[in-house]
Amino acid sequence: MNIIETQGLTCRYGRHEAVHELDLAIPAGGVTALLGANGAGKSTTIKLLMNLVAPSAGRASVLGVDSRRLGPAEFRRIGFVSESQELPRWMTVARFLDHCRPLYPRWDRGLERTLLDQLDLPLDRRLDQLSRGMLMKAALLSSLAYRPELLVLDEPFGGLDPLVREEFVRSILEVSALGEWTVLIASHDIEEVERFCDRVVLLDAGRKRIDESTEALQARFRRVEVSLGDEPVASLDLPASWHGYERAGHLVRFVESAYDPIVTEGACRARFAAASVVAHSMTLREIFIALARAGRAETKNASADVVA
Amino acid sequence: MNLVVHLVRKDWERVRAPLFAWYALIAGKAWCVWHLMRSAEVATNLAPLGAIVGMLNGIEAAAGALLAFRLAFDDKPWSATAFSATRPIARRELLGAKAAGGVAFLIVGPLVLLAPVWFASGFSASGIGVAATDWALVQGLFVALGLLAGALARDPGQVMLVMPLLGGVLLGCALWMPREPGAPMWLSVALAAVVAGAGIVIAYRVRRRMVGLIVAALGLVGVARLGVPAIQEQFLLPAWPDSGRPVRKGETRVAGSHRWTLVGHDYDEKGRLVLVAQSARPSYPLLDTLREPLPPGFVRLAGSDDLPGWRWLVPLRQGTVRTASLSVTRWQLALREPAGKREVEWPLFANAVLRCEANPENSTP
Repeated sequence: MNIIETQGLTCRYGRHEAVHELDLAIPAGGVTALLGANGAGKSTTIKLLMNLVAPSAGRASVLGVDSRRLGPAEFRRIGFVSESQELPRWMTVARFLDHCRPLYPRWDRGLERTLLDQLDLPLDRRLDQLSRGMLMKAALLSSLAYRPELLVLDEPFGGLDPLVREEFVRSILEVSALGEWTVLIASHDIEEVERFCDRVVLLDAGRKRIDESTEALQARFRRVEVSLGDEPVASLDLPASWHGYERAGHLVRFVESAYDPIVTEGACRARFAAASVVAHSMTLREIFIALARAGRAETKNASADVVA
Repeated sequence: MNLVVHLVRKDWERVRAPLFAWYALIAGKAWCVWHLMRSAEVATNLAPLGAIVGMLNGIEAAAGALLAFRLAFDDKPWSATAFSATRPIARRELLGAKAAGGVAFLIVGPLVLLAPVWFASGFSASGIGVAATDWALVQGLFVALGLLAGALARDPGQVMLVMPLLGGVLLGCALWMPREPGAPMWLSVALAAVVAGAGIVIAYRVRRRMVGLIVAALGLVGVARLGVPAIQEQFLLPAWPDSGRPVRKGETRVAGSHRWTLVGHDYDEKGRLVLVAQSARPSYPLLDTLREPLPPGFVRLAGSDDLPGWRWLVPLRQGTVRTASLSVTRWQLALREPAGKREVEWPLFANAVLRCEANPENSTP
């Protein structure tokens, strides 16, 4: 069963289209990362899913309910943490938890204590006296203690310094082990997300570029380096799966997005007969950058075609 | 626990410090008026006090509106970043909590404080009812406007910018489209409160700021179109019930919701006998039920020389203090004193006389 589904989900702010005909199917369980550069449409997608913004077209369902009809019953099953969420900062951490507890019939006091220990939150401090990282931890605690089926994190690392970010990621990793949650995390901090996400949805200018498991993604992407001999290059007709082709002297580099050891090497040999081919595995960040560059190049070419 | 009660408790914790300060202001003003009413000090002039108390009245109303604004602004119903937006809190529960908090903290609370003052001032149950209605209507409008602003505004700065602008537009409409006679004040106030309430409901139910703002603005312009009524304040001295005996200093006559007291007599700088009388009543301007006939034999016009033996020289108002829905007005009446008598009697009413000592300077042996 898919815990989140969208069909043709579109959101326009005036003439600007923040999300364009997005089709998603996020299965229950695991961590799905919604990645993209600033302005890619990640936060808008989250807002559409959480019924914080009305879609201009298309539809979305969350926990089997149309997102426009999400109400208290569904929000008892959803945990939501966002960097822009306004918390009642005049409350102490203890008072904040007191405030949240009656909202959730399934609030687990034992889990609350466990999370308090793990997140190391001071109960007697007011939220407005907490650092940004601690504040996000308090929000995380208040969104996990009732064991939500779906945990949505919108840019949870924004404004956190590396140390706090590390602590926060560790917290998420630790609490992930405490329950069977489906986590949807929207972020542009790919390196952080890479450590715990099972599935990646990459957005670019409101459009979906990639939607697959991290494992499959990392299996099909390789940074390929070809060392050329002195013989002339047979052909420069590049396959569509080669991105960011560069040649510097006797060295050719590109990113292969459909890597298969035999096929890729064969394609290289067909063009560079006496070459030695080395394929390096890539991090999500490298894949993201390669795709973003490819996207920009496509856009530039498309613009040039229109002008021509 | 009921979620509305839970949210009201949360709001109580949020606003209780400024709320107590506000209650102190209301109670302080009420105590001052009560004290003034009981004061037999002839020289107490209420005119300068009126300006100060008027300013405090303005602060009281504005502070009530600000507190209401704070209640609503904490959980903006339309906001995508509000804490309540992604928590299991239905908007109707949120609206219920804000309305209940506004009524309980900002209307019922002060009324509980004020009722003993009205009671101690000697007013009947109907008089207290009138005062409570008067206070609740005016304060209710301010609370409704505050909640409306809190439910619609993006930030407090926007309120500071939009509210004066909207107020100016409404005043302009009221002046540009005058209607005579204007609608009764209670009707204008009640309609404005209903319009603000409609804007609040739209903000919470539809989550559209602009729709709420447009409905509220158009509705308030419609109310302004009804005209701004002139409040007629008449303070008439009712007939004395116990004829045939002198009226004594400090004596009080209760007629309906009026309390009329003879504060005392004195002599002004010209040596004229000056009678200081005080009228106190629950504030009526919203109901405008004050038009009563003049008591028989009572002439209010200045310079009425035709009455044998006495005349009203100048019915001079020493000022009105209106606060806590209680009006206290003092009149200073300068009377011509027949020379050469140790004791003079003035026919204050058709059926009662005022006996007082003559001015020693006028008493030539």
